[in-house]
This record gives sequence, C-alpha cells and structure tokens, in this order.
Amino acid sequence: MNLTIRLNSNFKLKNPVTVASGTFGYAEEFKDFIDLNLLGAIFTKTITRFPKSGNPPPRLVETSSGMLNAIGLQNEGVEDFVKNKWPYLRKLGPKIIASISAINTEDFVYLARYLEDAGIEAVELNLSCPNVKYAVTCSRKKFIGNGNPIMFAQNAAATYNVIKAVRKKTDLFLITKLSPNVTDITAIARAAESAGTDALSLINTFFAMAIDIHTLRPKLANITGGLSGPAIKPLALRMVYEACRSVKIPVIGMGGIMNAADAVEFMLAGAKAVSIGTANFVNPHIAIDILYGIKKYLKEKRIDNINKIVGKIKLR
Amino acid sequence: MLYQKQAFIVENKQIAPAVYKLKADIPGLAGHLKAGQFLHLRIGESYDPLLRRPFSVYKIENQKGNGRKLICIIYKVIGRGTKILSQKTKGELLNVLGPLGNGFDFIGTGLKNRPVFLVAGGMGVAPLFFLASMMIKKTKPDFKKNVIIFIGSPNRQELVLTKEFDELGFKIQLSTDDGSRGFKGYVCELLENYLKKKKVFPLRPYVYACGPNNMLKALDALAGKYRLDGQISVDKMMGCGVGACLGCVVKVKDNCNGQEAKYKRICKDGPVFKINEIIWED
Repeated sequence: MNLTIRLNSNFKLKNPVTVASGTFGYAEEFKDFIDLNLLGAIFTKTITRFPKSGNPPPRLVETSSGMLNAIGLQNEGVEDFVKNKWPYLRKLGPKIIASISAINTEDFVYLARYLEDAGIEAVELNLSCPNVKYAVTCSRKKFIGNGNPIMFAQNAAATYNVIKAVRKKTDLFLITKLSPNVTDITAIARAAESAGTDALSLINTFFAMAIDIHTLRPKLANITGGLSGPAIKPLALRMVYEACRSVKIPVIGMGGIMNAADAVEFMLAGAKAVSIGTANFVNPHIAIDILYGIKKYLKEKRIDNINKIVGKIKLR
Repeated sequence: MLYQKQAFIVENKQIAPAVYKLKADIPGLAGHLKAGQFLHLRIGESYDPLLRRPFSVYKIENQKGNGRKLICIIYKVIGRGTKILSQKTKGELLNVLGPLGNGFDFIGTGLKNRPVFLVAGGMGVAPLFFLASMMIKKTKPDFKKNVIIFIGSPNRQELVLTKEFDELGFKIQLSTDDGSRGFKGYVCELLENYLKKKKVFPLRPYVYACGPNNMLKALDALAGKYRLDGQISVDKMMGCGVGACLGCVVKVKDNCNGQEAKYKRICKDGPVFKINEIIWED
C-alpha cells in the first residue's frame, strides 16, 4: 500500500498523518507513548525570535467537546530551539516542520533564514495565532472592532506581503497556517498561493470565550482564546474543502480530528495530509491509531494508494 | 519512563458525602510511582468532557492472595469529570498516563532534628499520606516524633485519612472551616497558632504541603514570617499532562536570570515547587 504523500517534487511525507503545532511540544515529550518515527511529519511548537513568556494563567478551559487556550506562544526563542531542541528532532525519521511566528515581517524573515542556516528543511508560518497581538499594517486600517490588531492571516494583502518577503530570502519548504477567523478563506488562500507558499495548513483555532457565572469573570485571563477539539471539526472541514477548491498547492487539513474517519473526511475534501492537534492531549498515542485506521479503511475499500482518496468527495 | 495503560477498577466506593475512594489494578505502574506524582485519567470514551483529569495517589495496597499492587486514589466530586468517575463500577476500565510530574523530594538526613510539618487541605491529604508512608519505610522509628500532620477540610465528613495517619503513629492536628471537628478555621491558621505557641523556628521547620491554591498562598505567607522551608504541591486543570501544551502554568521566581519571573508547567516542572518559589497571580 502506498501511503507516500508528495507535497512538491522534492518534499514528501511517508504518510499523511502529522501532529499539529502547539499540541506536541518538541516531540520528545511524547517519546514514551508513541513511536515518533511512524509519523508523517512533526510540526513543532511555535518558535519566536526572542524568548516569550506567554499569557498569564488561566490559559486553558474545557468546553463542550472542546477546549479554549490562550497560551500566547510561550517559548524559549529560536536560539534555544536550535541549540537544545533541534539536535533531538533532526535525528528523527519524520519531516520536521518548524512553526515560526513574529509580529512583523522582518522577524519572520530572520527566523526563516536562521532556521535554514541550522539545516531545517521546512517551516510553517504561523500567521494566525489568536492569542498574540501582531503589528500588521494592512491597506485600510490597523485595528478591527475589538481593538486588537488583526492577525496577518485575516487580511489577504498582509498575508501576501509577509509570505513574499520570506519567499524571496529562503529556499525552505514554506507552509502557511491560516486562520478560520475570516469571512472568505478562499481569498486568503489564493493570496498565500500567489505569494509563493508551497503549501497551506488550516485551520488554526477559532476566537472564542467562556465566562464563569459565579465570579462573573472570563474563564481565561486573556479574556478570549482559541477553540479547538471535536467541537470545531465540521467548521474546519468546510473551510478546508473551500480552500482546497480555490488553490492548486497542497493543503494540510486539521481541526478537531479525533479518529481515522475524521482524517479520511478531510482527505476526501481535498487535504493531502492531516494534522492531529487537541486529540494528542486526550490520547498521546492517537496519531498512530489514526494512521492504522486510515490503512484499514484503504484496505477495506481495496484502495492501494492513499493519493487516490484525496479530493474524491462526490458532489453529485 | 512514562506509561499509557489500562486501569481495571477494583473498587470505587463513597466514603463521605462527595468523597470517593478508587482502587485500581494498573499492571506494571505501581512500582514506578513516587509520592506526589500524579496519574492522568481519561474518564470515559466520550468527547464531552474531553480532557483527562489529574489525580494523585495516596496508597499502593498489596491485594490479598495474588500479590497484585493496587493503586488507591481519593477524590471529591466537584465537576462533570469527577461525577462521571464516581459512577464507574468494579471491572470497568480507565485509560491512564503516568507516573507524571516530579514528586516530593524526601530530603532524608536533611530533616534530622528538625520539626517536619505535613500540611494538607481537602483532598491534598492524599499525596501527603503517600509521603508519610514512605517516610516510615525510609527512617528510624523515632523520626516520627518530629513530625506533625495538619489536616484541614470544609467539614468533618470530608476529613479523610485521619485514622490511617493515626495508625501509622503520627501526631495529628485537625481543622474544619465549620468547626464540626478540631480547630474552627483554616489549616494555616491552625499551623500559625502552633508556631506562635511552640516557637520552633530556630530548629528550622520543614514543610510538605498540598491543598487548594488559597491554602498554599497562605502557607507561603506563613513561611516568610516564620522562616519555614519546604515543598508544596499545586493542583490545577491540565491539558496534556506531559509538558507539551503549556496550559497549566504558574509564575515562579527565576533564579537563573536574577529577579525576572517565568512561567513553569505544573504537570512537568511541578506539581511540587519550593516554598515561596511561586508568585501567586490570582
């Protein structure tokens, strides 16, 4: 059975099951629970140029079939990543994709070049963290209704500009992580494609909140956070489906995937690969269970090549 | 080494109005557990509630006849997860991750001739009972006479494990919020009364504590006032439990970089922290 996914002519995954940024640390945290080498790819926790302390707690709240988080990209910075985490990751079999984020274009370019120099092959541009304040200047205005600066991934021009700037300076395989907090995902997806990203990954989490009715306070110290988990799966699937139909580059689909059937749905909608996120918290072994479940599905359907299900949703 | 295992419920019994005792057979796990470490339990197959729940172990019991070691947990029903757990019966399975976190560091000879206080609030008594049992095994019989167990709880029904501490031969002082047993008030007030009366601080008292955040915060304040040294175990809602999601953090003083503070993970860097290491934010 052929499970190999070709994302472009020289970047391929040995299977379509990957783990999403921010839900798998730097992989070592999971090594006792799972054979890391069986994964298709590992997306690291997002790395920033300088160490970032993150948001005050409470940072995490459980909601119906989901959870809110407002971590705020806590990490030790890119220098620490290359020195202390990359040596472990680079010895692993799967493709390692370094998720990076910055509040401005200059730092995105810096991070990409720094990681390329360290021998990293692929990065994910996290343009869509709901819990940090980006310094995005777009054509119309800098702020939207709630007073927060918008994220890159909420504006087609801002998305285009940052990707274009990174694209010009590196030969890395570039994946761009998109936000679901937009009115038209296809417009952002097309802007990213035309700026030269090699692939898209979506979705990041939905802006959301919860209030404690006894203390009358928001349950997250950050007030709002990002909703993830099985609660968002149908919303994510719709956006991945629309994005896949609007671009030619490969799409990595994610959002609430809990089992193999969920993963197959995203692939039928057009995703070439899938990412497992919140489910890693529920069951640290789940990515491999999902991989075996996909294989079982293909066998039952007598399909010898995973690529034959990509985009095969029947519309009539 | 961390493990993901199936736990077979052997007993899940109500011992007070909202308090349950769970005994489970988790083959291959008991031998690896240290006092103060925790297990991350998946309560059911459903996605609602979605996340695991962390529980600390209070005892490892040898099952009569078959040599199996049973892991014992005490918990209070406070939300949907613990409600569902309380309805589980003998023979049902629970998925378990563990042993997680750093347990208490029993500093052994570092405690010689020093008063040792174990201070528990509510269900925080569980890991301290495990620690006390371990102390008995690792020390000479006269070590006990330097140890006092302080246990506080909302009411007398929820004062648990007092008999068990008594059987181990420890001195115990009790408090309840409603005064239904022991001192009326918080356990840290009881401890402060003792410190005021006995003036033991020249002997450099050492504290092991576990309980709700308000209690630990009060204890940190007492520690400053009476020069107490020791370790506290913090309980919090967790995501992954293995240090990946950064959801369960507390702010701590950062010794490496001078006065700067940083966020540490309760699940991985804790749940045990040094007294007065945490900067309480809420």
